[in-house]
Amino acid sequence: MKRFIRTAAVAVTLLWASGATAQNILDNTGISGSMQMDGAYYLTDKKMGITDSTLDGKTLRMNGFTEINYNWKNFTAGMRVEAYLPPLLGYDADYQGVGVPYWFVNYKNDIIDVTAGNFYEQFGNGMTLRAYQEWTLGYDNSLKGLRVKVTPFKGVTLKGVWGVQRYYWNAFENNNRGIVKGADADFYLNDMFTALNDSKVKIGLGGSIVSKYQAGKTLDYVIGEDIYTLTLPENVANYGGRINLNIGGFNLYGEYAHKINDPSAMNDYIYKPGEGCYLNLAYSKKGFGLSAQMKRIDNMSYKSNRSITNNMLNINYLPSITKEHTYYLASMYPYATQPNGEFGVAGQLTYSIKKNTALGGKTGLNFIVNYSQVNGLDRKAINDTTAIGLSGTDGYKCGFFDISKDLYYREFSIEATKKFSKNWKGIFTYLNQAYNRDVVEGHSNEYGIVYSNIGIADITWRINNNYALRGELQGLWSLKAHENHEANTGDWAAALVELTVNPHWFFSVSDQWNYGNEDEDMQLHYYNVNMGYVYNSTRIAVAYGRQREGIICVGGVCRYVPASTGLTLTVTSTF
Amino acid sequence: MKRSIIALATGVILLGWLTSCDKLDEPYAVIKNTNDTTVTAQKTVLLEDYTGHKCVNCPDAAITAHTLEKSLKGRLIVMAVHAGFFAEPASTGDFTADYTTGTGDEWNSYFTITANPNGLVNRTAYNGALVVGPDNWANAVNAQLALDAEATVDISNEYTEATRNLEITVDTKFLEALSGAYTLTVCITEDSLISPQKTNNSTTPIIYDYVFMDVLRGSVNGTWGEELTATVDPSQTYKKTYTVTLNQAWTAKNCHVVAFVSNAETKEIIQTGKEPVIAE
Repeated sequence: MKRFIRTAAVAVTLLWASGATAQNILDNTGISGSMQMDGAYYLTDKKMGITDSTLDGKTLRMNGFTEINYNWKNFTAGMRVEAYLPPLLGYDADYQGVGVPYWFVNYKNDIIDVTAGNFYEQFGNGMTLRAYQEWTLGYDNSLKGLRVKVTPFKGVTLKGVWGVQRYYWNAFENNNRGIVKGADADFYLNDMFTALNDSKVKIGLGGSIVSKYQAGKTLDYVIGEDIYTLTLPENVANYGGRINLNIGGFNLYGEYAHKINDPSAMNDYIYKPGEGCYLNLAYSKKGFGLSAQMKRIDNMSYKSNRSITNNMLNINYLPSITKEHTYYLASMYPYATQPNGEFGVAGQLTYSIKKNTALGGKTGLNFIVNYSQVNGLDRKAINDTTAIGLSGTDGYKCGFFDISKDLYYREFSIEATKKFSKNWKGIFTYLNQAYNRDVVEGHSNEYGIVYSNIGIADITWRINNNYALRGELQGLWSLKAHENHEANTGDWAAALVELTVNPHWFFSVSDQWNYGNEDEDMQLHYYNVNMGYVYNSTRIAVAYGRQREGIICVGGVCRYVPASTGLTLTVTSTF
Repeated sequence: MKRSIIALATGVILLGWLTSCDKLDEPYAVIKNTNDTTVTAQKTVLLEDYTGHKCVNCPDAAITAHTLEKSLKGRLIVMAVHAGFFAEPASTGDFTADYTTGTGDEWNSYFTITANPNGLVNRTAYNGALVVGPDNWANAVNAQLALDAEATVDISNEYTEATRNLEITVDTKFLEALSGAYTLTVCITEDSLISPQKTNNSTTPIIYDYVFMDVLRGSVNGTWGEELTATVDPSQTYKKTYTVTLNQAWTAKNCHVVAFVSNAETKEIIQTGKEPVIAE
């Protein structure tokens, strides 16, 4: 009996103690997360050529994720469950499935920050390494492995990463893709040297080196009518440096990256080193901003599997300098960065005309003028007997300023924002675009360049504190296709009416009409009815309508979207 | 002190990265003497080239497949499967030719071929990937050829011109006591079909008289074939006979019978044979 009492007493003590410990742990913890569910019910639509056979029985589709992060003192652990059952139209079918593609454990203090598991990371603006996720593109190149960040001195940050990239649901095995190693150093001189602490000149310097290892010393490859054995580099390095300089309202950011021989399916197995250069000069003060950018990319695709050509397994990111648009027709022809070579310039002027002036009127007037142009590179043969771009050779020669006349993209836009009164506001935009459809979409001299003029009027009427009505009218007028080219979709008109009922509801009706299509059967209306409810950080939206075929781009990375008709449900929430 | 040690250690690691660099010198490519291909096992490999007439990079892939087939002297059989978006026939215009088949569509969907050109090499993963791009066909085929043959497939055809009746007999003999069930799939392919094909050549974006070879016309015994045996017996010869009437639209002298034996569960192909409908 005594033994029983003693045992019971110990058990109760232990339970009490463990309860107290658990309570202490709970006292210092935090749980946060987010979720999104995009569901669609697709319908047949004879006019758009969508039949039962096109839908292949997969009329109900869903992409969704839930991410949960748990924090205790210096530790954080997190995971994300994803489900594509099956993936929405336009997303890679290889995503089909459900699982946990992302999990991590992190420890962080003042000096060191260690992550084991999956992580996202970026060196500079990404030309040597950028691991990131973009849900709308179905893009995720997270690294799984180890990341260490060290801050040994104030103003100095050192990073090291070592891992393998996500490739749909495929596990890393049998060298089915490469291993990525990288290191980055960031120096903020104003924090490092006391003499510069209060200086008006702010200087940041950085450098990084990334190396990928992919097994395979040789590759049998057909060149012309013969089979060749290519010698392959198993370790390919990509390194770069950057500077960030701030003087008063001026900012200069420059980055250069160099990649050694990296023959791959992306560059048709040429051995020329790659180069990337990005410059941004900006000046801003109250009511005025001016920026100019330059970018040169030459053979800079850098993937952890040399044989794939889709959007997956990119180790680096090539920054985009063209403006991104959200309006229906302005975003019809978005530019996608060409990793094999391009030269681009861009500039933007932002100016606010003051209130109570002749041009500004009582409420002032804001302008944004933007110009960007991207051309190809002027490649030259390496000798008299080797064709430009021939596999198994250095491919071509190209000087830094050897810019070809091939226009890839050009855009001029001017946007004026005017507040007419306390309750009326308008945004008026004009764009002139030239879009090389063959280059951007990977066709072969089929469509040529689409030249278009776009006009947009966006008016908002704030009826009262609870109701706001917004309307858009848009037009896109494009030149007809050249002879020997297939017809583009021609002229478009679009309209949208949106009612917001604060703080919870929104409703919208829109239509995009391809009235100028040369094929009369394709002069379709792409209508859409949309409504949603917002409660705290949760948003639920239901839409019914047609989605036109096209590409969507985020930061120069693009995804093809096929035409579809149906009902969609989107739920997003953070907690 | 502690911070200095960390900084030093980090510097050493950084230096380590600098060494991870294989800078190569020319020549990067040397012509491969295809006669060196070791022919120790008479395994014949099937390369399914998933293609389409609107796929601009597919003609190059077809050349790759054809060159490999030629150099491997009968040990590689190519079957062009026209399926998916790029193979869809248009209702009007240049691309009305329809080379799609129910069998090809089902394979395309089952093996999730999302882009063209792409291929399957014996329906076996190469470097962890089942779907193999043209750049890796040579290596994937060579990897399969390096394996011992596990079965033999002998095809004999009897074709009657008047009735267009084709009697196909396929004898399969396993060389090892393999585990699992195995199926036999018998297909018809056709050469020399002429219609427009898109290309990636900017001066000739469309070849109007493109010659399509090895085009899958359909399966004689269903998308996934017919079960040969659930338990392999190497002492037996498995004989299967099929009688079909050749489609009027097909030119018999351009048609071949392609038969392959595959694992019923994994779909991996272990042996393939090919014979013309009309003996050459």
